[in-house]
Amino acid sequence: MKVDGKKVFWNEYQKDIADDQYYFVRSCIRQNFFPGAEEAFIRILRNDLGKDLYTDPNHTTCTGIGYHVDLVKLETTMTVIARQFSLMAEAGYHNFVISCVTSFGLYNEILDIWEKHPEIEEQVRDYLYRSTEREFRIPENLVHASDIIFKFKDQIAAKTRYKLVNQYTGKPLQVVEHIGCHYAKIFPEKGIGGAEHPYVLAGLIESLGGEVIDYPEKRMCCGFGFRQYFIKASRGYSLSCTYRKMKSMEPYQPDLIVTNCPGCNFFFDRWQYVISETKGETYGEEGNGIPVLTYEEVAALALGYDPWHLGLQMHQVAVEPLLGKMGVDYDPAVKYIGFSGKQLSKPQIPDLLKVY
Amino acid sequence: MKRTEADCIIIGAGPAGLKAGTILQSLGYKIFILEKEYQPGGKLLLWNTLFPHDESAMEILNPLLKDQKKNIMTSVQIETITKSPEEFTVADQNQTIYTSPALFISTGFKPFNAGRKEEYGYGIYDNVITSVELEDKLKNNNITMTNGKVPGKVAMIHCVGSRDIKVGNEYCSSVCCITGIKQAMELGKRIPGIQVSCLYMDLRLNGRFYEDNYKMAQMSHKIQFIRGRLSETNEDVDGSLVIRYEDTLAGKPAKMIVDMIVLLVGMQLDKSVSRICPLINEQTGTDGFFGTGKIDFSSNPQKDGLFFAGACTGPKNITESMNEASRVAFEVHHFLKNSLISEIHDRHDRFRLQNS
Repeated sequence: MKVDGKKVFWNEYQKDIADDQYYFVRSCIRQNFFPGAEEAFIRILRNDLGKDLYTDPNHTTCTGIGYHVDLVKLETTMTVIARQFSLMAEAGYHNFVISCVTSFGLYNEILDIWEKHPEIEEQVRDYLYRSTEREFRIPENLVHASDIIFKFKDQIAAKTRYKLVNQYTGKPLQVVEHIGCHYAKIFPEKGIGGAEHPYVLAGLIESLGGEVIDYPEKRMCCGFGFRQYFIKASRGYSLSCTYRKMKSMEPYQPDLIVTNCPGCNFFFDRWQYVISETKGETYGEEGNGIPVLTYEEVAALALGYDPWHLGLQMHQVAVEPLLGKMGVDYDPAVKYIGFSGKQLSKPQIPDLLKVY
Repeated sequence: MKRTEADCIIIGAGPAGLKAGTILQSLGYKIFILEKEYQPGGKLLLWNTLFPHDESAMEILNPLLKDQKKNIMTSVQIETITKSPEEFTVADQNQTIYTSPALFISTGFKPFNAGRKEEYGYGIYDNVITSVELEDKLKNNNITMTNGKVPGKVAMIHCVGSRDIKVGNEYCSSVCCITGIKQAMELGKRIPGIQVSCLYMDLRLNGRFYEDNYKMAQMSHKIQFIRGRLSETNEDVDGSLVIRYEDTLAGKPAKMIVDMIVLLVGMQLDKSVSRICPLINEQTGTDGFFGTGKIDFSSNPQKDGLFFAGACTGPKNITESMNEASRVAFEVHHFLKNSLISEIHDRHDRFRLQNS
């Protein structure tokens, strides 16, 4: 493989990312799946990078999942998104940052519709005014949260306590980067590095000292695929997609999987357990799984955040093998002690997949 | 500043320019052929053998070059082209000025940049090459992969940059199908036991003896023809290439593992001349090539001393390029003859006026 060849594409797909003053919209599902991830993003932006980031308690779902499974009408979705823009303007911000990849794709899709059909935008302005008496302004800059981490990757790397380097061997950790389909496959020009060979996570991984794995099923969906998972009868497709990807990356012996999408993170993590139970297979060393982290969790770990404060105990696949390789200083005894000091309930021990 | 006059300046010393030069010279005209490369011959120089009879490219080229050697100026970088009522003026990088009443454009084509089909992996994966690069390997009798080994399984991908709305080339490049067949047979002849699969959209074999080649490819060389479109290329851990394609006859996605991929790249106009001269640029058709392509030649721009022939008027094989160049050379002859007759009449009228 020619890495220089990829750099040609990476150079072609650049985009403007605002420097500061961000209006942040959260994901509906991330806070349930991996509650520390968004918090890590906020803390990195505010505390480590000194940026102004506003989180608005008034914003709602973008309706993305409902829209993609045909439960919510496009007009409703557009009006909801118009309301988010209205909230941004009300808060005095122009730069819109989206936590979720599904939302990011949907916002871009709607902005594209409005650009091509101004009459629809006018209609949505009318819907919003009639329903809420609000008006809205289109953001000057609209990016995904992983774009922001990418923008400041070198600043983050300069402050890190740990690198993505195996302390036992001195070699870079082998990392699979998986980009959510809706990040750039709908609008390649909206993604750093484009849709085929995205750079948004690869750049971060490189900056932190890791090495990105290019495996044959790299571009395939993680398996979430709304209709695959949400329609119960189709869940076999979801599982088989993840299985195919795990089998494809297995020969490269990855130390870590990093994603930028809530669904991808969840399914790589949870399906490894299901695969271990149904197929009797695990993909890490000695019965371990391959840890699956979000980009903020990786950045925060490298910056020296406590893994349990990041909520890494909420991941199905145990992260301890990764923490060991990175040389992270952590206390195994407090893994299941909550912020209140109370003991959290511990997960059941699976038959095959190793947990600690 | 050096000033040189001619009856016709030919831009481009490929097969069309050389053929036109030979005819115009035989009719007694003074011509110059300006070539931007250091060596004349155009794209014919890149080719080893030509379909459908495996003729040597150099054996076709050498007699044309021999006839025109003294008229060809190489490494000429044209900086300006201007037109007065009487003549064209062409200036090169050395401030040499060429003037002539007729200007013959035979700038040929540029192979499609396969890197634009990002999903095909050209420029990223080691053993993804173009048909032009394969021809070079055939010419040097060195058909090896980057690891020095001879490929055992090759996929030839048709229509790369042709009939493709996504890259903006909706036309058929007309010669890629037969080029693929010729090259597949050549691989079969040189590497015993090689498996070659051609993934085609349609097979457009409308030239004389092309069908014979197609039949021979299947019967004598066991070339496999699959009606299929490539969707993506990836590299496996052992360096082999995993391609995913749609079998468009079966209507199903499929996967194939090969050692090498050959992308049969289409033709695009070489814009080096049209870029510097609005008069020439405005003769570009909707497909990006020069002229209208109409049967009625009078509707073509070949008037007022500006003539076009060869692959710059649309994708063509060598025979078609030279045939068009011959026909257009006779149009140049008529134009110059009529100009001369008009000039004689003018002089005669002036003489009579002066002596009456």
